[in-house]
Amino acid sequence: MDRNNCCIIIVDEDRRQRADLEATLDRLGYHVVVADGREGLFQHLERGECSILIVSSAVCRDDTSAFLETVHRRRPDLSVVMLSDLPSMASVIATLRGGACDYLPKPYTLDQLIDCLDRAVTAHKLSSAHFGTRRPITAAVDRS
Amino acid sequence: MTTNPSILVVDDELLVRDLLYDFFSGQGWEISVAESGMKALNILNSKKIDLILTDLKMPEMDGMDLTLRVREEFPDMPVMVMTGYPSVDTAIAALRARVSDYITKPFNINELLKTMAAQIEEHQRLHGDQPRD
Repeated sequence: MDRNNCCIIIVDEDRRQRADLEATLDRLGYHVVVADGREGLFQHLERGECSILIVSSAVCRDDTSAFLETVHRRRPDLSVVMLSDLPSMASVIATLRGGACDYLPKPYTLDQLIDCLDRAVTAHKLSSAHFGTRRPITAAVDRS
Repeated sequence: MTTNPSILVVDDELLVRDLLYDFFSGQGWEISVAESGMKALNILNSKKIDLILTDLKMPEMDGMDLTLRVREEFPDMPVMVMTGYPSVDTAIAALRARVSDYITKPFNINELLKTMAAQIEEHQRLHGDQPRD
């Protein structure tokens, strides 16, 4: 999958950071769509046009597992990259268990972003092949 | 899930290996143990394993190196890592290596059992249960 054929959706409630990332990905040659929150994201997911989701952890509203479960229920093949201003163990583990393919603390370099997207493309290919390989199983396990 | 899942536990601490061996054997599971990453790879090449549970911090080949080697040879193998020294960096590295879970020590062994059973069941649902060699 080359960059021109790869659609990335960015979801970040911070308008400036969203615009900066959109401009960067555009320069890299990706097809980019943006959403300012969950509603916009889910509308895009229904159309099924994107293969990678880059989402700010703030969008998850302290419930990363539930958010990722909802996303993967709609699109099990979607590669999810979590961006975080405040990386924490709890956040990373919830992201891992939720089936995301990467976690990128802010601020990040261009090289780190490119590496991350390369991994996301690979993960999408694997998920597409198995359709559901990265489905979260947290719902099956009561961790309380 | 197969009646008797076959798991591989990798930890350089004898106490942990013994604890997990006794517990999972008591559940009727088939359990192999290795005290190093290299020995784990030898076991993986000699018998069918449904899931690997590996410590992160080990001499020579650590749990992350083992996971990356496993990904090359057995890309779909469920791998869970456990560590007594959790950090954001190792958790991110584990996520990128597509581990199934990141467990911090000390852990609740009954919760670990449920998590491992769920991982094995999910893997078998997606990839089918193949007959053992």
